[in-house]
Amino acid sequence: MTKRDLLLAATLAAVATMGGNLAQAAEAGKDKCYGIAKAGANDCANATGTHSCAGQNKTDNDANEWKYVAKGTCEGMGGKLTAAAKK
Amino acid sequence: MRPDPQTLDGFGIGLRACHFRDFLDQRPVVDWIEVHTENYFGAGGWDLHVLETLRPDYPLSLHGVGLGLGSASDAHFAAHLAKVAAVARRFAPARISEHLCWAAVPGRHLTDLLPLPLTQEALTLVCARVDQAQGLLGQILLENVSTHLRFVADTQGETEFLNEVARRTGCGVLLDVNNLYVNQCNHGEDARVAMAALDLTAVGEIHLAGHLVTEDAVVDHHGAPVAEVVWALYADCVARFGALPTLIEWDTDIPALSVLLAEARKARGVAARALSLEPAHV
Amino acid sequence: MSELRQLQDRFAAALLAPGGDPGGLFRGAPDLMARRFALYRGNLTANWERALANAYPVIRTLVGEEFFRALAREYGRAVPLAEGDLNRFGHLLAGFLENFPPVSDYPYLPDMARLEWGLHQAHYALDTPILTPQTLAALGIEGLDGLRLALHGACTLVESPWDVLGIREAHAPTGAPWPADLARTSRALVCRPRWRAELVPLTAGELAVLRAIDQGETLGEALEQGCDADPDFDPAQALPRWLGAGAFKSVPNSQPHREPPHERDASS
Repeated sequence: MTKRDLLLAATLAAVATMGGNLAQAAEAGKDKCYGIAKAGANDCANATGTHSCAGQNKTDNDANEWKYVAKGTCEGMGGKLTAAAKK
Repeated sequence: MRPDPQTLDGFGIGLRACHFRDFLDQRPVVDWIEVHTENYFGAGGWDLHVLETLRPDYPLSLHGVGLGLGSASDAHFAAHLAKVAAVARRFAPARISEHLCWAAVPGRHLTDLLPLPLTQEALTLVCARVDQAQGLLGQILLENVSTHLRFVADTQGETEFLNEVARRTGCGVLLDVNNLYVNQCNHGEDARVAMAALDLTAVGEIHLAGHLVTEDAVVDHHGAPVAEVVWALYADCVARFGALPTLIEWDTDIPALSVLLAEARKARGVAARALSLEPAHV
Repeated sequence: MSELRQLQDRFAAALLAPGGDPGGLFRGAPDLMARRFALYRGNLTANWERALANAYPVIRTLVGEEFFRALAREYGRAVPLAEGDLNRFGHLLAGFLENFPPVSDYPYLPDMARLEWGLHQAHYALDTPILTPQTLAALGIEGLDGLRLALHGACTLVESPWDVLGIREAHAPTGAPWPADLARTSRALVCRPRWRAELVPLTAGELAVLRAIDQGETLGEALEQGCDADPDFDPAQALPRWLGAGAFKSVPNSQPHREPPHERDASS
């Protein structure tokens, strides 16, 4: 038997023993779908209805010059990386 | 009793993602639901599935926020309209509505309800676009918007403009009472005068929402209960136009579903009182 | 050009310029109208920020809210949204970040953006029927050998020299620890079994097979390529995970596996 035949035989054996398990897996998966949590969708203040026709009460006149420094969790992850760290 | 899913009647609320679970689990009693059409432009997935599941139980209003009927550029219109039509085919809504505004320039959609100069040129354009939309969708309703600005170029008021679009195209008017009030504050345009001037037969739906008073302008932020002054306007509105389908809109800091349902009940009460005081509307 | 078109072009140009004011278009006191005009710019940037945050929650946490808001504004100005659907806003963020000097110290961000966009677009992907084990089992060895499969529309393949999977895990509610070494290769399949977009981690061999399939190779050829890439590749491990993840579209002339009836999920 060639390598390819062995791989195909293993594939066939695997899918044959799966049988109806996929439907079962789908059933089990339903609980997880229960509170589907598309990022932001949980939070009413930031509903996933990103397209609202509500107005904002903030003006924006900020200039283009980039003065912001990333201050999130990336700071804590072993400090800044430099391009040199790239493999 | 299940309402006829093809008739919009009574008092509706917006269906928003944060309330999907409540709707699926409880099927709250509400006369009809509204969604923003553009949120269902996706090919598939959870949001469409939820709306498909709920659709048989509620009359549905598709309320568009991105068609930009008054955008001078043709660049986005046909493609956007085709997507609206696809959503309409999928969900067979009882009603489709959009806004009197513009939204895009060539190559860029600005995703907002931008203020339209109220000129003859804009009127001609909007009528042609409404014709085009109605050719594909059937009758639509066109909503008056709140604006922070009025143009030097304006040659007519928004009421006159809407009446004329309705007369030429046969479209309906969706009267947002809160927007009338916001424009009264921002531009000194009397809301009751506007209401009295609107074509009695064209108005087919009412919107109510909360607003925010700031130093520079009143903002239609849809993030608070309907203000008392707007309830009073609504009562006058019902007295004039009769019992029209009415939507409670809430899009910022969306509260618990029970709060929206309570606002819809309040609207029902205000409308009932207004109708009993006004035996025959003129 | 029509007057309306000119007016709207002028309005839009001022909207996109920091502090821009189309000047003279509006009735009323110019100072007040300039401030009111800026409210429309506030709307625009708020819509951009909200839409971008919806697609990129991990990146938002990584760079912090203030930076993210400014990033959304820069991106929105630089990459016009071509359609009126904010759920499509942000599709080119990865490439934008690659050329954005303020994040050059965080070289894993573009790959994290690719990963998050994959999950985002999976959420909206078409509900195409998926390939079942029964269909494959019925084909026999020869049938499997020559079979050309297609990845499901919700699926994308992710490979990065950075541990983007570990970084994402560290930001999940389960609160996994931050990866000790960020320069660690990640491989994963983005998929959407039923409704929730998910990630299935892949070995080098598994990724090689799926990539070959995605490029149109037959299953036999793809499996062999996987084995070449990684001698430990084991179809008996991989296939059940892939099929469970809904990795492939159902093939023609087979019994499609439909989603379970909606009402059971929704109302029971």
